[in-house]
Amino acid sequence: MKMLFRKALLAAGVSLLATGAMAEQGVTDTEVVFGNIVPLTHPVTASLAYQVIYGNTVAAAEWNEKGGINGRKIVIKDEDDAYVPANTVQALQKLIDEGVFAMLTTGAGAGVAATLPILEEQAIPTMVNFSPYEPAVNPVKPYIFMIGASYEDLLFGEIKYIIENKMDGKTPKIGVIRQDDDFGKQVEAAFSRSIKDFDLDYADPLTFKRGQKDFGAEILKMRAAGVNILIAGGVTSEIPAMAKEAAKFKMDLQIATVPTGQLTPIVKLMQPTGFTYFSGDYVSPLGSKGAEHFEAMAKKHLTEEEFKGLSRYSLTAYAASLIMFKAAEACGKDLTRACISEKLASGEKFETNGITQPISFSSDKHIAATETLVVEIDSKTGASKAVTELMDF
Amino acid sequence: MRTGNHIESYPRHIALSDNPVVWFWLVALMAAMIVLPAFSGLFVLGLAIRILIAAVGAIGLNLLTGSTGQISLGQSGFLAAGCYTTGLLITDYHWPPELALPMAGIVAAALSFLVGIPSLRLKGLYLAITTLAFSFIITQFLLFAEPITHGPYGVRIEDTVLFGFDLADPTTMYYFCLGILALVTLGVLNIMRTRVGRAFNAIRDQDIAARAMGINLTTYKLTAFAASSFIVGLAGGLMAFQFRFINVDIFSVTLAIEALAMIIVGGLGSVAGAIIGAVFIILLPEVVGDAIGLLPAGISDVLSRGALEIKGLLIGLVIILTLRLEPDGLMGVWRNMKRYWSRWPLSV
Repeated sequence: MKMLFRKALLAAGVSLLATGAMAEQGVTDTEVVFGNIVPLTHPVTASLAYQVIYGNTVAAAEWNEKGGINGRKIVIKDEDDAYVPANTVQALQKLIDEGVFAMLTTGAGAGVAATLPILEEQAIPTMVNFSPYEPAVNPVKPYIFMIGASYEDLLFGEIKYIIENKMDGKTPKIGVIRQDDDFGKQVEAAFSRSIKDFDLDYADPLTFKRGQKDFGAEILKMRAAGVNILIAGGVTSEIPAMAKEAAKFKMDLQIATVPTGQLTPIVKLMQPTGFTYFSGDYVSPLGSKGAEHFEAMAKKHLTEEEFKGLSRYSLTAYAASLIMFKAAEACGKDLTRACISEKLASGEKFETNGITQPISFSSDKHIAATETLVVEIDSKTGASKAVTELMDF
Repeated sequence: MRTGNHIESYPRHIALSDNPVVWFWLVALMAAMIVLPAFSGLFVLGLAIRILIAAVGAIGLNLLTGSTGQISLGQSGFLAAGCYTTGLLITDYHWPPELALPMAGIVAAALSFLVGIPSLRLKGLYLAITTLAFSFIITQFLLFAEPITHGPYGVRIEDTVLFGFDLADPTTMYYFCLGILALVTLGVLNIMRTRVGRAFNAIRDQDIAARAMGINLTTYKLTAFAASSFIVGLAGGLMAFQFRFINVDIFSVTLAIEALAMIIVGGLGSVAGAIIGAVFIILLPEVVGDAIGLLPAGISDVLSRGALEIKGLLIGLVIILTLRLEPDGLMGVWRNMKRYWSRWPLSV
């Protein structure tokens, strides 16, 4: 009896080991589980987080409709980190426990940085896209990839366009009001680079704390310095708050913003200011030819309310998901984390249905879609149009 | 029939516990905690590590606020000071983690004199605001002294090996934090049995009377600040190993409010209360999140979008209810239950 029990235990152990060796976490015969960490409950970024989820949802629904990844249905598990790095780590640990195979998004800003050690140790294929964070891919980490230009490149492209096309003979003088964090530092890098490359006159940079509502003092300083190009370095409501003050003082100003400047609520808040302002992007704007396929799919797979909530963040999330799914499909039935990483780094060009240029990574370059275009937004009509082609800055 | 607990000698009075049943359950609890990693996934282990570190911090705050009566809202500042000391010493100055961790406590204790000295003339709300201002100074310094602190970019900690054990491994980190919590608990319980501990309580209850009895307020208040900050700084040092990436965003004012909530809900002045409060406050949002998930889909979706606000509301509500219904916190509830049980059927 004792012998029989030992044999049964041994058999069970061997079968467990065999299963463990064969099956990758998050992959079964019928499903592949992807994870997503976004700040769903942060007062400022919650709407962006939902826009990311919509993008992932459309990509998964479109792919599942075609039979999934080699017959395996795509399942996405979303976790909230409330934009707090400690929560991002906890959310990732939860997703690992729940058996995710790969990550489509891992929070924003410092949250991405906080999860890097775990992602590397656990060798989890990850696509950073919500908020570009260069140290995630520089130096190269075998399983981590990123799409999207840095804020520095995006803003530099806008400043270049403004100087070449919008100054009407006036001498440009540049100023920046930026958030006092890592995001703000990238914004200021664009300011410094513009001064150096175009030999610009400038006003001293000003910083503010996330969540500041009133920018009267900062705008007055910019006005006193004679600034006519302003980098409005806020993430969301800070941008119209700065523009509102500038309009109050009747400043003749060209305003450069980060991609959030294109979001519908921001455009609406900008409307009373009457400014035509600029934003940069590495994806085709919604309503453009490049976004046609995505919008058709979104109409099909999202509710009407969700469809209305789409933004460029939905497009970036959609593109990132597509790349991940395509790399997974290229692995065939034997889907492993090592394989997906290898396929991504193979140099193969991944199409994103017109949203970006075809995307390719290599073994020594895990960042792609760094070419940016400049978007001009007329706040009076709410219309936005790309005024340049995609270019590398 | 048992009618009460009569202590007849001073050594018995200051003993950690004279009841074998208490020791039995303590040993059982420790045994359960030791075997926990064998039955837990990464998430539960991560949560347990958070609780252990929060408990260390709460014990530190309790020593100052609960036992000495000095209200402090500057805990996030001391945590940040400890966390950055460990992180920067390891990353930029290549100190061995074995030395970098205790330095977290030492630096936080040294900084506490900046707040402790003004506290000699301040009380209550004025002291609370002073300590809050201190935490703002610390976070602003960390943000703007970029050449020293890496500013908004944060610090990544690569070397996490202490005495041959790699704290990057969650199980090892769990046991290490458990060990630190045990040491801090024993240390503080022992401080409270000494003349120093009794002086702290005397200052809390009536500082003028304490002074009249020969207690040097300057010495003891500063000692309380230093000891408390050392422990909180140590908790900050542990956070450096927990996240292995630190930046200022981690140390919000909310953290100080949560720490205060832990000791109020657990029971002011009680070491066990601080630990129970830490468990309660850390688990509260998790339990609420799970409870929301059980609600019908429509309601669940609406509530989950406001999870952060709901957490804030609940913490506020719990503090109000505790202060209104049971000022001695969960430890008070426990004491009442014990009294009821031991005096039954004569309990009221």
